[in-house]
Amino acid sequence: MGSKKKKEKQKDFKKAKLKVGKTAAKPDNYTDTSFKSKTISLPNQSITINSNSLQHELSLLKHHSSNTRKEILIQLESHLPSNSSQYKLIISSILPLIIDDSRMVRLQLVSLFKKIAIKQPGLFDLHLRSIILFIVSAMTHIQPNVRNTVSLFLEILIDYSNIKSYYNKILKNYFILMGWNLNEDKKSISLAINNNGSLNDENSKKARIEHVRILNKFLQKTMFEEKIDNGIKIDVAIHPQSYKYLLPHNVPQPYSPLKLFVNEIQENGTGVVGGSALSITDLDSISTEDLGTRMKIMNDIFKPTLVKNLKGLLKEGGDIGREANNCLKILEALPKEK
Amino acid sequence: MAKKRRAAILPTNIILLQNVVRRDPESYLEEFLQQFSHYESLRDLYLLNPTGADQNSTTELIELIGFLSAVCNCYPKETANFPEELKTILLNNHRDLSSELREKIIQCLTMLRNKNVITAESLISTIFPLLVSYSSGSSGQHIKQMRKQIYSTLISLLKSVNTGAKNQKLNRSTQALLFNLLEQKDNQGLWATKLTRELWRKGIWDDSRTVELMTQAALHPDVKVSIAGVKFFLGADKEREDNFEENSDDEGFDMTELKHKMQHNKASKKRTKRLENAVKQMKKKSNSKHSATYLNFSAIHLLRDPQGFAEQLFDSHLSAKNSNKFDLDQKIIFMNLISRMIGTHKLIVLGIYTFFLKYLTPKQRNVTQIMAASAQASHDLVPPESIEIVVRKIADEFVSDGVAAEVASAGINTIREILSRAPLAIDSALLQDLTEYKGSKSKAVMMAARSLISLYREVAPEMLLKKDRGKTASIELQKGEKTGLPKYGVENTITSIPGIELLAKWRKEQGLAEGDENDDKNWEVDESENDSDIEGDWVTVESDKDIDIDISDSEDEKPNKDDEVSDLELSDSEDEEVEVEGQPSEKKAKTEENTVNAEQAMTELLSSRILTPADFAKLEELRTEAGLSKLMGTSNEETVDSTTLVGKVKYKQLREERIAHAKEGKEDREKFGSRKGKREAPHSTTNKEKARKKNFVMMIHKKAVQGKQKLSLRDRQRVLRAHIDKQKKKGKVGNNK
Repeated sequence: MGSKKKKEKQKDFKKAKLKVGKTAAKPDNYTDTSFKSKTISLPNQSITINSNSLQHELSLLKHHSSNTRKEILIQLESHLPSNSSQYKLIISSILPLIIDDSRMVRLQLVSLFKKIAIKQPGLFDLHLRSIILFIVSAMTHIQPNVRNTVSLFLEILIDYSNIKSYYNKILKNYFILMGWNLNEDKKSISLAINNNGSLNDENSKKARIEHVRILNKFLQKTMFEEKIDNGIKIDVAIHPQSYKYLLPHNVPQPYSPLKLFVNEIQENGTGVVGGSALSITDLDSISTEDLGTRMKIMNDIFKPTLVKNLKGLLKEGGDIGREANNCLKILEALPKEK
Repeated sequence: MAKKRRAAILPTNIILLQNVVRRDPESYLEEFLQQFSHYESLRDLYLLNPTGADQNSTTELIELIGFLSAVCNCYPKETANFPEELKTILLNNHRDLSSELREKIIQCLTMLRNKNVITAESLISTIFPLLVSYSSGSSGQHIKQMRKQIYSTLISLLKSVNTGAKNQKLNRSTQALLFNLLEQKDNQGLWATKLTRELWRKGIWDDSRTVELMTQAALHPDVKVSIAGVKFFLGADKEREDNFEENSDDEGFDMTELKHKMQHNKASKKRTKRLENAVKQMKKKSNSKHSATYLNFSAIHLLRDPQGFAEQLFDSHLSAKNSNKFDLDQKIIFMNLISRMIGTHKLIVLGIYTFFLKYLTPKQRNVTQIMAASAQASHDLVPPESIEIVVRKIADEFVSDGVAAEVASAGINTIREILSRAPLAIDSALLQDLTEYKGSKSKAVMMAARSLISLYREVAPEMLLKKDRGKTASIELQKGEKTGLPKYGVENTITSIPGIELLAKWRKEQGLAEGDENDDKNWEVDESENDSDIEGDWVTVESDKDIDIDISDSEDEKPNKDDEVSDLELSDSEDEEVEVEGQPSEKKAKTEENTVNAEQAMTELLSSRILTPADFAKLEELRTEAGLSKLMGTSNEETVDSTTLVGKVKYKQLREERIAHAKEGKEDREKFGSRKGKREAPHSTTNKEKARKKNFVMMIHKKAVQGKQKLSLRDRQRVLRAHIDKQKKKGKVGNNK
């Protein structure tokens, strides 16, 4: 014990040995005054920005409870702002709800869409691209109940907006929505499965009637000449065919299919409608602003399968048969190949 | 019925769909097309507004990308553009993509590469730019993660394409990318060094091109990059060795044991399978170990232009004006590498010796490392004047009576290391001054001085004081075997096989007949020895300049020359000023006779017969007996350990070390202890032993036993006496039966 104590005492008086190539040890009374600093940022707790009420509401559209989302939609519908500048924000935050899981929310969204379309005419034309993308995304959604309500949104667009430029896209995805096979050469094994699968469900059955009805509407809108009355009488004589060579006058973005100013993957395709028959691969690169092109696309690609599938529905009879019959009538009314 | 059942499993989630699509791609084409179209719309949505995309659609897109890349090989026609799309999305929008999506795309591209949908080249060209596109300042958590992912992807990709045969084309193209990276002045070159080092460690890249890449890195103006490059040369080879050792260690099971078990245990399917697996694993391991493509050259040996590299490194990083950007530790690393290269390749970089002078003071931090570097940088082809200034500086600064013992020992040890590489770099006055420290009170200093003496006894005993030369060196000098100092620039060439005279003598003594080279047994090469040579790592071949050779040279020229030569004179001119002292001629003749002339021996031996491997083995044995393997064999490649310069490093030994140390001296000695019950030669029990071990109860009634009781006193005495005599004899003669 004693020796241990002694050693400890002696330790204090021992001189630290210097070593070659090593720096001398710090003295006993050395104080380290260096320090490091770090910052924490908490953007959520910021006190500088007041929470805008509209912004706050819109953020609740991502709420996990479907009831809350629906409530917010109802509130939005009753308090739609008159200032059109705020609509961009609203549209961009309500659009994702097209593929919402809850049917209630989607149906509520349909009524909100209708209200907006009435209140702000022409607004949808500005956001058409993203709306169409969401609709197409809903059409191909893996959940059948999301697919079921999609045609209601499409109907609003047909009624209140100009969707001619997206003719190809919509029609092509309509085939997928209905479970029709566009490629005739393929064996259509899965066709049967798909039909059966959707038929099992009562909702799906009803939805199919809606789908065919709206397809009918869509065809009516796109396959016939629109009656243009601007209310302005132009006195200057214009050649009756000259509109073919002018820029389409009521289209916001006539060259959008060229995808010049859009961040999107370029597809290979000629983009030129020649005399020869078109194939499915050309669809993405063709501008469908004019009726002639649409007609040609219909005749070349869609018409045969469309007629065949509609006839299949006709045989089922009932409401769906009636709607299918209407569609068929339109298709028959189309002029044949010029 | 079947239809209904199939309809029931119509998938409503992606994972399920992926499963069924994989099983039956044709039937589920429609569903696939639906999902593909969904992907397209989501993709367009995403690209429309990459930064503000909402969480749901992003997760959905991630899911779909995973799905499509998983089933992509089922529909090659439909998904022909898919990989391209992923690539363009990644390359054009990587800044906007959310971290999960970016990670998923990289992961999917890797998956597609593994499925051979895209080539390795295109994968590298896609993900490599991402690795370096963010400056290190902007690194957030996600960026770091992404870099890590890309890095590990690249490593595993290069590993997989290089298993079996090396894919030189891909290696070249990747190395070209890295070269380009190193051309830029920023610190992104760090990735090149990291990647290369890792691949070197794994033995995937092991050619001179890789080393060239690292020389570029070492000469890079950026501090981090150049340090990484230099550290590669200093440490990567050891790392690689460790890596391979580690791999070879983890056998995990004993093959013989398994086989043994198989013989005795009941054969079952499971057990057979286990054995098969083990065999397979074993084969795999042995294959990878002896992979023919793997080269075990160290990086410094693979340098294309060592002289140029060393000069450039010295000029740009050490002696240039802007070398102040490196701190002392970094400069020491540079010194270490340059000196290593100078030593290994015997380069001439004269500037470095004066450069060392600045740092060689006892107060300098880490001076031992600098001293070690200066020792490594010396070799016999450098002009002695250049090294001499270093030696003198060390002597002046470190070795004096005023300094601590530790410092003095460090100084002398360093000088010894330098001189063992370049013996001419000191004059005898200074040497004799230094050897005076052999009487120092400090053990470390004394040992250092002694080691210096013993070095010069081998190299140039003339330079030592007479009393320091020692017996053998003095005798050699007297006989005139040692004449003159080694001269600068004179290479020692081999004219004979060292020690051949010993062999000749031995053969004469044994009276071996000529022509036993026809005996097959003598030609047999020891297999196990050879194996160990091949398997072992870098074998350092001993340097050619063995001392014994110049013995034979000088001897031949002047066999009659006598000694007692003053060393100073000899250093000037060795041939002319030979002082001949009157020595008894008979003695001279005797010594002549005794020493078998090496040259003669060789001509005699080699002209008459061919040396067999057995001869060489014997030669080796004789040489070690004669103590001919001399101290001077320090090869140039050896590195100097800075810690040993100060003195002997004492550390507490582990138990194993202590046991090994104790065992060292008693290898051929038997274990002490009783020999009782141990037999010299194996044999069955003798009758005597049997009788001795027989059960007592069985013997008690026998006459032989009963009779002992009835023995007369006289007889009993006689028997006892005989027994005692026998015991005594036994002890003296030993227990020979």
